Formats: sequence, C-alpha cells, structure tokens
Amino acid sequence: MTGKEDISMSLNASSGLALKVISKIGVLLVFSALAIFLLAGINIITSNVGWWLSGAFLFLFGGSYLFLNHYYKNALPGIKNNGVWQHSLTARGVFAWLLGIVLTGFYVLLYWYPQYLGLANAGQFNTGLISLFDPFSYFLKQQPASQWFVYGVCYTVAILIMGIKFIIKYRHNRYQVIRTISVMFFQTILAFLLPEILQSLKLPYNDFKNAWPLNYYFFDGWHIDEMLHNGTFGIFVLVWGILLSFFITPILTYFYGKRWYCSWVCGCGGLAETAGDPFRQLSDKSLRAWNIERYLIHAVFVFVVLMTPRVVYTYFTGVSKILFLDTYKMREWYGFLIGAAFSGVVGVGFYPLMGSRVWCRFGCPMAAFLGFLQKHFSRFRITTNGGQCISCGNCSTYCEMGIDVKWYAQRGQNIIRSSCVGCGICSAVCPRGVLNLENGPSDKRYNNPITINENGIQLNKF
Amino acid sequence: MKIEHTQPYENFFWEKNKIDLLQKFVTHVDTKSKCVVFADGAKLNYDALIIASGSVPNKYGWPGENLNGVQGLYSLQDLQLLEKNAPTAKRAVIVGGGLIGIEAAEMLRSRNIAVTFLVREKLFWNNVLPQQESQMISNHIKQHHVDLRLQTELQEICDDGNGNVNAIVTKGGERINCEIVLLTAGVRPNIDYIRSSDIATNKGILVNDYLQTNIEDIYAIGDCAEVANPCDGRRKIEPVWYTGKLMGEVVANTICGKPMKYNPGIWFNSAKFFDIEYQTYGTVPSILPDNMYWFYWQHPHTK
Repeated sequence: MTGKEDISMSLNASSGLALKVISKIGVLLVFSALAIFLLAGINIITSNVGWWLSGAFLFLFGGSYLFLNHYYKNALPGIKNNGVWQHSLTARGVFAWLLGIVLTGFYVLLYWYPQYLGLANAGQFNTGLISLFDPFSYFLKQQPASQWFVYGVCYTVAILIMGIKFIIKYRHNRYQVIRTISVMFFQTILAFLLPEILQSLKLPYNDFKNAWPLNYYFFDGWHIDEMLHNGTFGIFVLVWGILLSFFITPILTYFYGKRWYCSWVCGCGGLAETAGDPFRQLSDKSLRAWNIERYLIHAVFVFVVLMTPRVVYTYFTGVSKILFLDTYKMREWYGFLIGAAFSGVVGVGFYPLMGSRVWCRFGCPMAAFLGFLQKHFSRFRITTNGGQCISCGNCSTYCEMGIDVKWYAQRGQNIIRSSCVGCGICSAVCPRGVLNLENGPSDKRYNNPITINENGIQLNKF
Repeated sequence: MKIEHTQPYENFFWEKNKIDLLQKFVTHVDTKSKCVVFADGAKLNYDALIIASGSVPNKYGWPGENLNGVQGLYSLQDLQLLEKNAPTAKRAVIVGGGLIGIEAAEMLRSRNIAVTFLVREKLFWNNVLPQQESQMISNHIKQHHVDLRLQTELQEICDDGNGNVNAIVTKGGERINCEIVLLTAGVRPNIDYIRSSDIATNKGILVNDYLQTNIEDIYAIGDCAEVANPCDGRRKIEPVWYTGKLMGEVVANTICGKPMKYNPGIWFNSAKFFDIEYQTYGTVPSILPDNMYWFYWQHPHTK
C-alpha cells in the first residue's frame, strides 16, 4: 500500500487489512515481548528481570493497542467476521495446529514439568521464565513466583488484551461491551489481584467467584482445615462458598440463565469469550457432537457429585475406603483427568482446533449444574421473533457452544438449551434481528411471544 | 461460512425422515399420466406434485450477457462460479440495485475486490424505500467503499477477444474495466420447463387460495408461484424466503388431508445492508399518497 490516504471509492480498493507502518510497529512490539519471554525461558535474560518484565508488558499492551486500533479504526462498527474460513489460524490451517501444539505444550509443562519453566526446588532460586516474574510476585506478596503465578499473570493479560480487542470489534453492541468489561473485571480483581493480596496478608489463597463444583477442592480435607484454621476470614470463605454454590447460583440462574456465570463472571468463560473469540466458529454443530457432549459433561458432573460427599465423609470419619474405592485415589484421578488434562490442556490447548468452549461444553461440572437449572428452573430463553429466520446459518456458525441455533430459529421456536451460555453472539450476527436473549415467566417459556405462520401474525399473551 | 452452515438440516435428515432426494433436472410434467420426465429420459410417477422450482436471475438481452465472468447470484452453483472467478478479479460491476446486488457487493468487498454498482434509480432501492431511507442506505453503501453509480444503466458487456468479459459500457458511454459482471436486476419464476404442460401459467405458475394449480393434485409454492387473488397489501409473486416457508407449511397441511388457505397476513420483511439492519411491517409506500405522511428520524450522531 502507498502512504496516500485512500479516499476514492473506486479503482483498487483500499484494504483495511493491509499492514501500515504503525501496525507493523505494533506487531514488532508484540513479538519483542514474546522474544523476552523466550529469552528468559532459555536463561539468556537473568539480570535486571524487573525491567525486562516491565518492558515485556509495555510492549505487549502497547503493541497490541497500536495494531488493533489501526486494524479496526478504519472499519465501520459492525460484525467483522470476513475471511475467518479463509485464514490459516482461524480455519484449522497450519498456524492453527502450530498454536495448538504450543498451547498444549505450555500446559503440559505447567501442570507436570514446572521445573522446565524454571521452578526452583525448596531453598533454591527460580530460573528461566518463572524467575522473570519474581519481581512482580515479590511486589504483590513478598514471595518468589510459582508456575501458578506466571500462569495467572499470563491468563489475566490474555483476557485484558483480547478483551480490549473484543470490545473494539463489537463496539456497536452494548451487551457485548458491558459483558466483556465484566469478565475483565472479575478476572483481574477477583481471580488475580485479590488472592495475591490475601496471600500478602498471610491469609489463604481464595478466588471468591470460583464456586463448587468448578472449584472441586472446596470440600477437600486440606481446604476445610484451611478454612477452619483461619479465624473469621476462614469461616467467611466457607459460608460464602456454600452460599455461592447452593443459593446464589440457583437464584441468579433462575432470573438470568447460566449466562450470569458462564459469560459474565467465570474465568474459563472469560478466556473463551476474549482470547477464544477468533475460534468460536470451530465448535462442532452436528447432532453427533451434541450426543457426545451430553454423555461427557453429565458423566463429569456425576463424578463430582459422587466424589464430594465421600471426601467430606472421609474428612469427618477418617475412613477413606468406601464401596471398594479409595477417596484419595478418586480425588487424585479427578484432579489429573478433569482438573488438569481436560480443563487446561484440552480446554485451552485445543482452542484453534475445536473452538473456544471445549471444556465448558464437554467437561465443566459447573456448566452441567447451571445448565440443568437453566433448562428446568429459569426465566431465560432466546426468542426468534415469529420465525422471520432466513436460515442463513450465521447464528449456528458463530455459536461457541456448538448449538445449532438455526434449527430452532427457522421453526420459530424459542431456544432453551442447557448448554447456552448466553454470550449473545448469535443475536449479534443475525442479519434480521430475529434472535433476542430474554428473561420472562418461566412456565410459558416454550411458547413464542409472536408467531407468524399460516394463520397470519399473532401476538401471544402470557 | 461453509456449505454445511447454510443447509437447513444436517444431511442425515432426509433419509431419517424417509425423504428420497433425487438430483435431476425435470424437463416436462405429464399431467395426464401423472408423472414427471427427467432430462435423462427417466420418469417418476406422483400422487401429488408440489412445484417449488424458485427463480432465475433476469437477463434483458444485453450484448455480451453470456460471456465468461458474467453471472447471476442465486444458486449454490452461482456461488461456486463466483468463488472460481473472484481470486483473479480486480474489479466487479454489479448491475441492478436490489437486495441481491447489495449482498453481492458486500461479498466482493470482503475479498477486497473493487466494486462498481450500477443503479437505474436516482437512489438505491428508491422504487421500494421512501426517499430518506433510500438516501441513508445509499450513503452507507458509499462508506463501505463501493463505487455507487446512480441513474446509470448498462449498455453492453465487452469481450476481451477470448470470450471473457473485460469491461462494460454504460448508457452514458463510460467504459469501466472489470473481470466480473453480476447481473442482479431482479429474478423471475423458473418455470420454462412447465410451459410444455397444461399447467396454467402467467408470470409464474397460477395458484388458487389453496396454492393449487388448475390441475388437481398439483401445487406450486415459493418464488415460482403466482397467487391469483392475493390478500390485501400482498403481491401476486413474492420471491422472499419466509413466504416460501409459509406456503410449504400450508400445502403440507392440505396434502395431508387438512385443506388450508394461504393467508400470510400483513406484509413484512427484513434485510441487511452492510451494517444496517432493516425491518418493515405493513406497507410503506416509496411514493407518498395524498392521505399519508412519513415520519423519519435519524440519530443526530449517525451519518
């Protein structure tokens, strides 16, 4: 492209996507930041790490801002999904596989081989990538960094940067903007900063929005002990945790559907909605996938529901062998299979291959619990404006949960699905204003407010 | 999006519901012996026949309208042809300012192909939309870097000597170089293969209130049907998706033994022009009758 301003509406079209100098600088800064992480990872950067880390963050945020601002600045507000099925990264091409391998590899190191990320043995100093984060960790809680601290920082940065991108992309849509600010807030304050501050105050780590059963260790013996041995604060954590899971969750889900958690509050959802947005179209919409989903997610839920009372029983009685199974073994296997392998390695590592909600859709026991409430005890539904659907398929394509939204819309049927996280993208991409996320009386949810059929248009009274 | 995203049902649907899909061209309907005749000579008997053959893009006998690179945009095959033509094209000319034309413009712009849009009226869709709405959408089209040419008509399409299009000439005598020409000046019922039968036709296949043709057990629905006595505010031929869908529901009732009249109620429609979502309920005239007035409001911060 020439530097000449494109004012013509004719001849060679201006390309909003071509890289101008300013966006090239942005890309350069982002790659410099990644280079700093890499150099630290292979122990080339070992001194002045505080400066290097600050520089990396500055480059990451600054570079992303320069690039994104330019990328979207010239584009009018509106849905921007052009070419997602043509680009290698977003259409399961070579770049998608590369990113998938890198992410999966990172999670494997994080969970099982943190020493390769530079985690020190007791009494020694961190090296590699983890040592790069030591100054920041000391600043927040006067302790060296752990692999979980590094993970927490990276996770939060990813949600913030990709959240800003999401907000710019959907700036015409108030629901999307507010929802994204919400997930950015809950991740940064409740999931990241507050637990770190608690630790600096010598209180136990706690993420106040992480509810059982997603938080599967809440009723573990060591966690109950921790809560009971930390005075008023510990009791508060215990009471709040029980309230959140068994009172607040059903009540909010009754009024708003599971979206209040899955696409407004949850950290897994937060990452899926922001960093995962470029991959949402990859979720499988087939009936086969839905069948697998139903068996898998409910199996995980049953696993948690069977495990938790056993864990509590074992805590109070000290008996760990119940009905041939050892509680500690069961707990260990859940942590390995579900807590680490499924939610982490597969859940995020497979974003570029299976879409952004693999974990939320196939594995999350919290989603199963919320979904059950949403399907049977909720005022939430997506209405279809009397079946004005033209079967264009945009809604199904961009549904991250793999719901074939169009199947309902083209029959003018309300959409009530336990898996729907209420992200509202189906409504945003619908070219005809057909889909609307609504809360209303729960007893007549399956009836449509408007029907347009062979009898003409009817406004139905509830 | 991919083809499977645009299919109303997954492929297993048809077999599961005991529906045989035959992919063949029908060349003749024999109403006496109640069978359809295919292009390959095979025949298929029917008890009830529902004709839903849709539309074809209008061509008005423009010179060069059959050159390579000149096409309509109606079927999957048209889309595949466009995918084939698009990668090497620098500029496309779209002839005819309606809904298909603007969608074609949007598609081509998404691939960074320059678009010149020839519109006969003094504003985009001015024969359907009221003046101010027409103006707003015309402005919006220009903001999306489409070279919108109002009150401009096609004179001829030029051959590069090898049977491919390389330019068009407007009625004003201007020559515009291009590699693709999209003819989007409306559609007409696709019923040429019906004319050899004794099914009554006008512009479309004539049907009564039950969507039945002049022959018992033969029905016509969708774009190809012409309703002889439409209800108030409705046109005889309405080539839009939802009327086709309603007609399908009505005729399904009828052939299953519950005769049902087609009554679509008041006119409504929706469309999308790049980023503008448009909905209309009831008839909004493009030219104002004496006893009516328009109310038009636009947010002061929008263009």
